[in-house]
Amino acid sequence: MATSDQEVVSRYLQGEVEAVGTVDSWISRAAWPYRRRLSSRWDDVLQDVRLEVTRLLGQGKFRGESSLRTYLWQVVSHTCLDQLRSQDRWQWTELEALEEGGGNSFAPPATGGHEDRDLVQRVLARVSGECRELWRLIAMGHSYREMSQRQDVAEGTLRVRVLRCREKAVALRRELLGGLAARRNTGAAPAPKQIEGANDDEL
Amino acid sequence: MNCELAVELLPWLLNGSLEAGERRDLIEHLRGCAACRSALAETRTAWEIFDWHPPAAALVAHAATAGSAGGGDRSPLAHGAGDSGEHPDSFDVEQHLASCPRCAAELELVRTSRLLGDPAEDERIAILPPAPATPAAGASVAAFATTKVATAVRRDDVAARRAWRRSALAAGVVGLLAATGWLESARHARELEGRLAAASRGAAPAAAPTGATSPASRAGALPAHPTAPPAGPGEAELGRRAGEAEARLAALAAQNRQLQQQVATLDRTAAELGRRTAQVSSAQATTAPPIESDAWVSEVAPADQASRGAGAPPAAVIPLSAGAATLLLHTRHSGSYPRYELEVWDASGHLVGRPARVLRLPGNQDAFEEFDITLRPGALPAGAYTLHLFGLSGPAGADSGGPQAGAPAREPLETYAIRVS
Repeated sequence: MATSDQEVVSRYLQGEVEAVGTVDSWISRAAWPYRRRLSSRWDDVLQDVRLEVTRLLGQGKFRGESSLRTYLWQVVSHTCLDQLRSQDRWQWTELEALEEGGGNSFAPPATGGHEDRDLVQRVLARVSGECRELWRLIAMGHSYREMSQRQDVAEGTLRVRVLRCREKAVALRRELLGGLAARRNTGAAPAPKQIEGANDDEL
Repeated sequence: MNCELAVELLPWLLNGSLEAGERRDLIEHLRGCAACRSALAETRTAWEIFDWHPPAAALVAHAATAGSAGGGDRSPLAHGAGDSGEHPDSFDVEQHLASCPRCAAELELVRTSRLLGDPAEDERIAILPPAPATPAAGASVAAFATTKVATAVRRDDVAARRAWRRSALAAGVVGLLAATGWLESARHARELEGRLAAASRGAAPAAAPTGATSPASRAGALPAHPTAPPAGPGEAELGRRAGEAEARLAALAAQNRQLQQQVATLDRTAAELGRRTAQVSSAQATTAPPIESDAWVSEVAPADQASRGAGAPPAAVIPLSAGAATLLLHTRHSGSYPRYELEVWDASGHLVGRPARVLRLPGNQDAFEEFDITLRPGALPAGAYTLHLFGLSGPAGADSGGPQAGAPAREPLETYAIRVS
């Protein structure tokens, strides 16, 4: 670790005005590109970043594997991207209430952990590019009428294609989860599992 | 609504694009159909799979490794919020980025942030008041123009300064109007006095034979001749007109006093506004880089939008008196280039210059991309100019190395029209 970085961290944690100003200017500069997207929340997010930086530096998480400024950039980008994604996330409050009334589980599949991300990646690798594109358009908010015009297919045809993609993705996930559970039970080494009939040519 | 159609419509129920009637019917159906509710849960599962994106840490790590040779700056970020901070070795971020505009836009943000975090850029890109130890910005800025990633303009402050200027201008106009009224009333009063004097001079000879004293002269309102007091048949009429004139003079004098008071009040207001403007300006001068003063911000649409059916946008007009002018160049071009270049051509087709640095500010998926450039005060004389935006691909240093084989490919992206007047 550069001595100057070590000194800056130490003086920052002691609350020296100059060090605090230096760190804060680096944070503000790194966070600036996110300002437009975060709009009115930018100041709040900036404050969150300051608190996070103080927490991380106070816990000694900065080990000098990069410069302090690079480390701050990483914290800033990480925090701002999380905030951007949280504000863009789809909300289905009304439908969740519907599910609660019907007794079915509406809980989304967990995709945060490494294993779950790997599962999603394996599912996505086995569905066709057309499926991924169709669902990408759906996630962007396009109506099925817009999509049918864009794809130049009848609306009913498009809806059925999307349904087939959904069924395939869910079936693949179920199969992979079954294989994962079996490996856990037997303690076998993970091995790629080829699902019968699961190739892109089907869709 | 039957179950077959209901199940087909579920993805668009989730994305909120169903028409009101369809949505109402579908939700009504779901309330009474457990099988379709189960299908809804599966649709949600599929949504989470297809709408999956690499975690923020993966994008940050990707930007870090791409920006540093050999990955020397890549540090594991022990960051507790959301992601675990582990590197995404199990999937190919590049492959995802190729098909996901949203993540590509986020990566652009991260890269821009990374660039701003580079100490070497501190002197070239001024976006915020510099750090205390940072040397003053602008030393190595190109002579023609300073291109900045930031607008360098705290727009609230700009708006406040504009409001003060408009208030001061309005006060000045009101004061001018009041002064004009006062001068007009004074001129009218002098004209009346002249007419009265002329009337009294004309009446005096006619009244001389009677030897009587006129009512006006008795009242002392008119300058009576000491040796020939006015008398005769026009005396009553003259007296009446003199009385009217005197009353009008008194009214005008009162009006004059009121106008003078108003002018004095407006002068005080203008002085107060000037004092506050000076305070604001001095505050700006002490807290912001000089480039931020008198900044003029204008959003510019591509000049060829007419061909896209949107109608030709007017050229952005930059007042000649403006200080630094920040142009937000909109573009719908979605491609991404390592670097961008901007050329400014005057109306006679001569290349005026190239701003030193052009960086893209990514917008939302459906939003305009924007390029911010800032022209220093007086960079362009009055006239019409055309801005050509190019995307550069190829080696970074090739564009300065002459006409060798490694020259970057240059693709024209947009054309903008501006006017300095």
